[in-house]
Amino acid sequence: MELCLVFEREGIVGEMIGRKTTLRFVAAACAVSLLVGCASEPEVTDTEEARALEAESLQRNDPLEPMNRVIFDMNQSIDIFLLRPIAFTYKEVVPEYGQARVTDFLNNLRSPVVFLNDILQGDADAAAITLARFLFNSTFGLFGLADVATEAGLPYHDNGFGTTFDRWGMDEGPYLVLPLIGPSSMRDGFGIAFDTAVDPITWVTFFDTNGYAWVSWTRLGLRVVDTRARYYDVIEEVQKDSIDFYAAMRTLYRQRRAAELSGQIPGIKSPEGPGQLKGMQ
Amino acid sequence: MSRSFVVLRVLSLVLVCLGPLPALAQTATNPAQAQKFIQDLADETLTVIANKAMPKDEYESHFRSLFIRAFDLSDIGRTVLGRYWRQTTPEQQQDFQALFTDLQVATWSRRFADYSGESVKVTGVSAAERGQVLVDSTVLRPAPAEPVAVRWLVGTGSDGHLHIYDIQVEGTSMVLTYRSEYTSIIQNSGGVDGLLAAMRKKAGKV
Repeated sequence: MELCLVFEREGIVGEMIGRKTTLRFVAAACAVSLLVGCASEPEVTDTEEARALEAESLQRNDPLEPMNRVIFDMNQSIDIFLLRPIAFTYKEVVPEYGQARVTDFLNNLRSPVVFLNDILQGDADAAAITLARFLFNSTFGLFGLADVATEAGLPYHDNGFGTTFDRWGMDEGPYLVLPLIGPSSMRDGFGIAFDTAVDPITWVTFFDTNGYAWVSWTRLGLRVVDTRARYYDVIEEVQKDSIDFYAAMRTLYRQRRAAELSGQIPGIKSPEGPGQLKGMQ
Repeated sequence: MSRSFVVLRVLSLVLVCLGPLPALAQTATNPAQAQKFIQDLADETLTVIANKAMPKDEYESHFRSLFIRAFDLSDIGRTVLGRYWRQTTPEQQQDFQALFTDLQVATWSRRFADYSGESVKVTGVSAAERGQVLVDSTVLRPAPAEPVAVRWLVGTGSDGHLHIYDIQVEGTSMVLTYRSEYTSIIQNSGGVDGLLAAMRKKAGKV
């Protein structure tokens, strides 16, 4: 912009030049100085600008930010006083082997939801694997406590309505922080609702007359502890490293979910699955 | 002064501006060299970290110089600020770069302090934008921890040397994450000065 001013002064000094021309000249000089501005900062290339826009659209997908932040803070309080201490104790007390058994058991219980979504996505191979795994692990794997199917070459993959809606062409919708559950999106939030609705174990609670409601509540409790414990180190790290924890979690959730859905990382495979590194090669 | 003269002058100015542009294109980075760069750097870093006998001060200054040499922090800092970079004064830019470097060194030095026998194995390389390359690696950790796939964006800096421009773990980019977080702070807490204050507080330098 200094350049622009220089030209303006020149224009004023040279009175013989008509006012109109001066204006035009100044305008042109300003336009040029903008170009100069670009050229003197070679680092800002088109791709970088494209990445900037991409990053900002990634970031700005949060029209509900005020509400989300309130729920996020609420979740944080619950986490600090309840979930984090429980997850910490769980990690300290239960040996790694036991933790893996809980994860396997919960994965096996999720089979009906995974199977249904494999079908809804028209992936017969995945559905067949899910069915075979369920039969195999529920019997030889002692009610799913041991994932013997993975060792037999049938690795676990996760699936759910959030992914199905994506495959059906649904946009992620605005970013959403769900009470107790945490970072999500409108689409994935509906996904969780549908997952819960079609899950036979949910039905036990709602249509139960014989006092078996504890089954689904126990499962829910185990899931919360298992998930929180598996993300324990990552969450600690992000919290230590970030200045705005909310903003950091938002972008991390969205980047990860996008990478999962695009197959860049096999996120809809189990973190324990052997296919873990496949997407990175 | 005729109209065509103005046009001519503007045009010549434009040409002067465009003149240096081809030179601005990033030097294409040799994939094999980039792979070797990451493997050597990882091995060197792990050797430094594994040497627990080194006095703390010496370790920290050693780590810092290694870190600053490895990353093109000024480029990363600019990318992190994105469009705000051009809205900042040179003083703000200097402040930002210094704080960003301090925070990065502190974060990574802390992360590496938990070192317990990890090793890095470079597994492949692919082309990226701006003539840069993405080096794929696997960070092997002692059992029962699973290996982690880490991608390094390697490019040639204005100094002609190879540098790291981004690290990607499990589909998340370090640079994109900082950019998203920092621009959010700029928007929510009073512009770039708000960000600088928050960074200063984080770096414990208030």
